[in-house]
Amino acid sequence: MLQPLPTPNVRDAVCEMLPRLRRLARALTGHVHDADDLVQVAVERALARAPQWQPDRPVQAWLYGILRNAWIDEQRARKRQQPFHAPEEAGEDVGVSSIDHYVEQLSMAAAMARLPDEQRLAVSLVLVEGLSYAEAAAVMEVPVGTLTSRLARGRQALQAILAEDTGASR
Amino acid sequence: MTITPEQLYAYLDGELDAAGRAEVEAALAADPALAAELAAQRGLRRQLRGAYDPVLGEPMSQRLQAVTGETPATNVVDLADRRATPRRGWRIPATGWAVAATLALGVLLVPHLSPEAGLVGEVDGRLVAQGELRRALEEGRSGEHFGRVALGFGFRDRGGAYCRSFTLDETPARAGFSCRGPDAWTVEVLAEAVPQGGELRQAASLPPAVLAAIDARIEGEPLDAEAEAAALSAGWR
Repeated sequence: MLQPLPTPNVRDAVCEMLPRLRRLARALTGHVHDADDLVQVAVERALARAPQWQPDRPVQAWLYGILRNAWIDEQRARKRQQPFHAPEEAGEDVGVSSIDHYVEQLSMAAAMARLPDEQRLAVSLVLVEGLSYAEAAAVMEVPVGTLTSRLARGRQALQAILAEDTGASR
Repeated sequence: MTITPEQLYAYLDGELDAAGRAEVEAALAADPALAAELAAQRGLRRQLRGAYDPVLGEPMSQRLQAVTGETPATNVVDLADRRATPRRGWRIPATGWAVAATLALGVLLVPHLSPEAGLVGEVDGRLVAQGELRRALEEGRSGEHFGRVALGFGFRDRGGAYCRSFTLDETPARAGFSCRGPDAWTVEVLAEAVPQGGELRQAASLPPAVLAAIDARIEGEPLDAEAEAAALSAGWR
C-alpha cells in the first residue's frame, strides 16, 4: 500500500532546515557521526509525523523540538548502556572543513560536553541557533524563566571551562 | 541598582525592552567589571559561532540527502518572498522582518541623528556606523541583537561591496542598511521604522523607503546563511 506523502511544506522545510539541524546536533553531541545519526532520526520522525504539524506553528520550532526529543531519547538509551560514559570522548570526531575549524570545534565540543544536558541545550538553541528566549523555551517545553536561568548557568560554566583550558595550556 | 547576570545576558541577546536596556546601559557605564563581563560573554558567543557555523557549509552527507529524498534546497530566500511572509525570528537571514503594507513611507534620514545614540557618526561628510552598530555589522549574524541593534539580512551591491540591513530599537525605531567601504561601514539609508506591536522581540519593520533603496542597490539575492558565514569570516571584504 502506498504511504501517504508528507505535505510538501514539511518536506521543503526539512530540506531548508537540514544544515541548521545539523549544526544544532553537532553542538549537542560533539561528534560528527552521532550528530548525523541524530538528524537522521529527527528527519525520519518529522516526515512520518508531517500530518501532525499544525500550520499555525512555525515549522522550524516543530523541527527543533523533534530533534531535541530525539536527542533526549538517545541520551537516555546511552546512559542505560554506558553508565560511565566519559564526556572526554566528546569532540574526538568532529567534522572538518579546515584545520582551524577542527581545532576550534574540538576544544568547544570538549567544553560543551562538560555542561549538564539542559544547559547545553539552552546554550545551543540561543547562542548557536540564534533563537529568542521565548522560542527556545517553547522548544525545550519549559517556562522562559527556566530557560533564562539554565542559559545563564550554562554561559558561566562554559566561560569558566574555556578559561581553565586556556590557563592549563599555557 | 544591581544588574543580575540574567539581565546582562538578556541585554546582550536583545531581549530587554527600552527601560530594561537603559538600566543595563547605565550600570555598564558605571561598572567596569560589568562591562568586562559583557565583553567576555560577547566573546563566548563569537567562539561558539566560530566553532559551529562552519557546519552549515559542510557538504551534506549522502544518507541525510537520501533521507529527505532529494538534494537539499539552498537557503536562498528572495526579498519578495520575505516581504510576503513575515516569520518572526524563525528564518535566517530573514529573522524578524516584516513589512505591513499600510505603513506610511519612511523618511530618508540624513540630518536628524539622535545625539544620544552614538551608533551613527559623520566622517568626511559620510554617515558611518559606530559603537554597537559597527560591532554588530562586523561580527553579527543575521537575526542577532547587539544591544539596541538588530541585524536583518546581508547582500552584495552592484559594486560588489557587502551590505547589511538593520533596525535600531529606539524611540522612534529606525531601520536602514549599511555597506562595507574600504575603512568603515557607511550608513546608506536610515529611516523611521514602525515597531511591530506585540512582537516578542519588538522587531521593527523595514520601511518601504529602505526596501526600495535596497532594491535599487542589490545585486542578485540576499546572502544565504552559508554565504554570510563566509563573508563574516573574511571580514566582509
